[in-house]
Amino acid sequence: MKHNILFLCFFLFVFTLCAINPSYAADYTEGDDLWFSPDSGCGYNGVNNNKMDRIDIWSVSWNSNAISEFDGWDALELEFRSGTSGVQWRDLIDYGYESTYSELPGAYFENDSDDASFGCHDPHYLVANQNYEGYMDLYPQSSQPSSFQLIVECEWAKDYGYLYDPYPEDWEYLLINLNKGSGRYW
Amino acid sequence: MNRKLYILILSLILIFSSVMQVMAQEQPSPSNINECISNSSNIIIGDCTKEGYTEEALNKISILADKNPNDYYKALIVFNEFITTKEVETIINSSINSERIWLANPNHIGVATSAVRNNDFIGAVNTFYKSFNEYVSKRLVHDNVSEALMTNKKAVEQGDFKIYAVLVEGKANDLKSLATHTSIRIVDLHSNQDCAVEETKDNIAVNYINIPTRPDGIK
Repeated sequence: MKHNILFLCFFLFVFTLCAINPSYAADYTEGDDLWFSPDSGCGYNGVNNNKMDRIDIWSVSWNSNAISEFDGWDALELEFRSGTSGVQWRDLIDYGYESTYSELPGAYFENDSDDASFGCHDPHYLVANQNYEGYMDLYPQSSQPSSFQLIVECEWAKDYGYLYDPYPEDWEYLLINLNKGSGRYW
Repeated sequence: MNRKLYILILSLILIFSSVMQVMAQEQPSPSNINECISNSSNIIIGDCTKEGYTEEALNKISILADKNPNDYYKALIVFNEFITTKEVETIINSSINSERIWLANPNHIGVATSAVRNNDFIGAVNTFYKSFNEYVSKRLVHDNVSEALMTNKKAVEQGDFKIYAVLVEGKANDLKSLATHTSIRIVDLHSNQDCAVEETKDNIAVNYINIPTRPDGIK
C-alpha cells in the first residue's frame, strides 16, 4: 500500500512538472538540445572603442532531420540579449542598426526592446550541414556598462499568414554567459 | 495512518506545484514569447509571392492616397529587378525620405541591408561594403567559412551587390505614384487599417518585419 502511494505521488510530481507547467519543460541549459536549433555555430560580439557594436553568427548549421521537420509555416530567430542581471538590452544597445548581412533563407533583422535577432523566415530552404554567416552593426549606448554578458537563443515561431505572425512556439539557450567582446561555439 | 500520510503527501505536492507555477510566471522570460502575446505583434511586409498580395497593396495605397493624400506613411518598395544606386535615385524623388536599402549579389544567397542618410544611396552602399570587409577580415582568421561568404566577398570587391528594395517614408500621394512605376513590384505600406483598429482597442504595438522578395527568386 505504501509503495502504491509513493508511486502515485511520484507520478503526480512528474505530471505536475511536465504537463501542468510546460514552461519547466523548456530547456535552460546551453546547447542545441531541441529539434529546431542549429547543430553548431558560433555567437560572437564585436567591440569598438570598448563598446559592443556588432553581433555575429558564424558557421551556423542544421542537420537534415531538423530541416525535414520545417515547413512553409515555420520561422526561426537567433537572438542576442543581455545575460547580466539588472542590465537590459536597451542599456547596451540603442534602437536601429547600420549595416547587416545574413545568408539565412528569408533573412530579416530585428532590434527590439529586449534583443537583436537574425531572422530566418524560410527554414525549410536551409541546406543540411551548410554553414551560414551573418552580422549586424548596432549603435552602442553611450552609457553602456563596461562589463556584461550575453545570451544567445534560438526561437521557433509559426507564421500562418495572419496579421499577427510569426507567433513564437518554443525557444532554447544556445549560449549563456557570453562575455563582452568574445565568441564561442555551441 | 496510511490515509493521513496519503493526504499529507498529496497536499505537499499540490502546494509545491502551485509555488512552481507562480515562480514560472514571475521568472523573467528569456524569449519574447510573453511579450508577443501581450503587447506586440509582427506583420511580414514585402512578400510579393503571395497570391493577390500586390493587388491588395496597390488597392490599400490608392484608398489612403485618395483619403489623406498629404499624410506621411512608411513603406517598403520592392523592385522588379536588381538596380544601381543611380537608377534608385532616378525612381525615388527627393521628396520621399529613404531610410534603408536591401542589397544582394544576384543569383547567390546572402542578403544585406544598410541605413540611408539624406537619400545618399552611394554612401549607404559604401557603408555596407566597408562593414562587410571588416566582418570578412575578422571571420577569415577562423575556420569553416561558408562558401557563400567567399562568393560574396568577390562580389563586394567587384561592386556586384545591387539594390532590390528600399524602406521609405513619404506622402500617400507620392507613394501611390511610385506604386504604378514599371520598375516597382510593390509599395507595401507599414500600415494596416485592421491593425490600426486593434492597436487602439488592445494597445498592441505592431512590429513590421521587412522581407522583400528578391527579383531572382532566391530565398
